[in-house]
Amino acid sequence: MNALLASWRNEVEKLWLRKRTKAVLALAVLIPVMFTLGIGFLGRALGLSAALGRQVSLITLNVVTGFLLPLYLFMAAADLFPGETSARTMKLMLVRPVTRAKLFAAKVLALGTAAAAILAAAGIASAVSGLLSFSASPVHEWTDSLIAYTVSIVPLAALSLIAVWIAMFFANSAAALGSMILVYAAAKLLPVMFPAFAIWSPFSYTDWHTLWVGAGAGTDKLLQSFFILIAYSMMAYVSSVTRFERKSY
Amino acid sequence: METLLEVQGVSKRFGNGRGIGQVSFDVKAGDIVGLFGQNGAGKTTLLKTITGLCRPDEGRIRMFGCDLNTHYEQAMSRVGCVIEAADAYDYMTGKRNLRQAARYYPGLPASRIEEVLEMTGLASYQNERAKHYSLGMKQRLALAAALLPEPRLVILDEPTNGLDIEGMVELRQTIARLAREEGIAFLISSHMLSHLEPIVTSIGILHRGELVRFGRRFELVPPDMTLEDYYLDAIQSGKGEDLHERTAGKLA
Repeated sequence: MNALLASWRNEVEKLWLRKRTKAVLALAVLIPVMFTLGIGFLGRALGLSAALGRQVSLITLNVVTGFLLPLYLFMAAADLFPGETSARTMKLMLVRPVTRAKLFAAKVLALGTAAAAILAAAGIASAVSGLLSFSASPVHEWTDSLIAYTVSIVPLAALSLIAVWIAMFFANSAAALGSMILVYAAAKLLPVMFPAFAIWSPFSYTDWHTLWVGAGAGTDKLLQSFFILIAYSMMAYVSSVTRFERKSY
Repeated sequence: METLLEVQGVSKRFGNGRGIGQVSFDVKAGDIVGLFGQNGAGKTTLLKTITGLCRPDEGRIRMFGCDLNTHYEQAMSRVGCVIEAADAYDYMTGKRNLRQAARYYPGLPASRIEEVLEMTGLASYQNERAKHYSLGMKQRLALAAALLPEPRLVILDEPTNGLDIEGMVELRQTIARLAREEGIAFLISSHMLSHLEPIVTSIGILHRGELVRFGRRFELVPPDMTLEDYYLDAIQSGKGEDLHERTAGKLA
């Protein structure tokens, strides 16, 4: 247990020391503030401040889960796997008393921790800026926001694991990052031409939280999409950890 | 004397046919084993296999009686290594690099980081980022990280690379002292015999992936022969020939 905890702390520290983590956290806070200011300005002109103000939290979440966090998670996954291989720092940890399976788990958990922290920062910033600029929202809207931010970690976890799976094929971070972005862009565009593809693409669920708010989707639909995401996550995890275990460093 | 490392019939071949074949030897407490060979002889592959960075195709490795394959954490708990090059996280300070390593050893006293920084002469540079370190300083930082867990076995791959003469002498003195006073065993690879000649107690000679000689230095090398001559002879004569017999023949 100590080896897993030590590795997780190390990986989180590595991510935290990267300037891009702090930049993404700052953006996650700035985005709702900018939206609030923009909506406040537009809303006053159109007389819709209160109605639009309530949407700040969900608009922020859409931007963070659809663009900011995927890009950050791709960069972080590329850093923690091929980036460390090419910088020859991976072996610094591998020769410590920790199994590869635990080190791999710690890296994945660190990605999850970073995603959760960025989501939390965006959520708190949007709640506070919404509260300060507009009238207080009804309780059910607060609950909706909380649920949306919480459940959005599920598709992001699947996205992280698929990014890690792609990263395992590369020996340098730039090539891995380029491939991840390419795959993500293709996966986002394909459903436009082939709508049926959207059901089976794990990347189509970055806005999964929208199914949970308001009237939302039925339980069967939520369960179906949840199991699709879990299945992709499990396949990506098992395949990646197997490659990680067999690799020579 | 207690056997700390047992390597039995270990082979590792890469796609290009290079690697190591059927390597077997032991390292005992307090030994300073010099592993010599040309560039590409398989020294780094052997050390990587011993430390788990490469999986062997066959054979068994045991450290402190624990099988590396099945009890990796226990086997590596008292081992310090510097493999291939002295690498560090460039964006972290020297001290933070050591703190990362220290987290894996829960019983380690808090003062141990300061101790190894003092021991390797890095105390006054501990708060500088590793990217500003010279190659020699990175080598020292890697050595500090290897000595951090109070190891009983230290595995060093070409540790004198990048060190100046003073640094090399200091490194040799540190190794000899730790082996003598604390019974720490060292397995050190080098392609420069002269760098390690003054301190090695056992030698292994790797040639084209095979361990052609291994044993106690005073048992292997005749008193009238330098280590360099012995090495050249071993490489030229190849595996299986008894140098003692040939040397005795020459003398007669």
